[in-house]
Amino acid sequence: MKLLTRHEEHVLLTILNLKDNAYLVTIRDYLITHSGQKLSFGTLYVSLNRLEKAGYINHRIGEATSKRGGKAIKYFSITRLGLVILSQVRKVQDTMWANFTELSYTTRESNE
Amino acid sequence: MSKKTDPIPGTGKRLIRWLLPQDDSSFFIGDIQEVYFDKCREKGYFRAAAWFWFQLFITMPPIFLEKIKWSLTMFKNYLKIALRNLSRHKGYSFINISGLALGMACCILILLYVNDELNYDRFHENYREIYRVNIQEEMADGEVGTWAVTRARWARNYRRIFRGSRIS
Repeated sequence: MKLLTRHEEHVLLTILNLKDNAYLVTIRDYLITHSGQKLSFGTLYVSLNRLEKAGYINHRIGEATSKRGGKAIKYFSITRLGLVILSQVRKVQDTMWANFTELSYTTRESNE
Repeated sequence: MSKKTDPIPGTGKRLIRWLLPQDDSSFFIGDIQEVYFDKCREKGYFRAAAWFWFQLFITMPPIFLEKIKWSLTMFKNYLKIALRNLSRHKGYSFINISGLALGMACCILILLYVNDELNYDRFHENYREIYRVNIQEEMADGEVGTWAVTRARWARNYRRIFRGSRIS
């Protein structure tokens, strides 16, 4: 059974969340706002390449804009294999977390 | 100065084209140019340029590591195929490789021998004008011996002998 690293899992989930608008810039922004880790373009590029070679995501080429200096955009979308492996990872997580559901995350204000 | 599209520095673009393969580099340049454009509008040219060079600096290690990883994987693959070919044609490979090895060994040995023979006592300053004179004489029990000793008088009799020194 193949699993994903944390980073790869995050990237796949952002691609799922961003639906049609998932390319390097938006994925990076989403990850920075949601996980607080300021990733560089290089790590993202490498991760996306690896995931594509493993068959978890696909890409399609979008239109070029003048803002990008006339270069096209590479949009990523998740494949069926990617969904399968995400659900496997989720299953493993849930079985391990099953006995500790009270350890849910709370913010500082709601704590007594 | 607000241009319609602020382009990223030219050397940066060339660096990206060198780092990444041809197809990917154009998408990457477009992506980073978008963010650079926004940063130029927000924070001005110098902050944006500083951000750009920092991002490029941070981006290089993972890409190099990926290249190294792929090179190693390809090397392993080639090795696998080579070994597979060898084991499929064992006899031919054996003759081929052992012939090459024998040839190379002989060549190297000859090279070493000739080199050694030509470099005898090169530490003398005028080694080109120093000669070794051998004598062959018949000894008491009839055998012929070769010695590298000469008599002192020869230095006087032969005009072409420059200098002589007595050792014992």
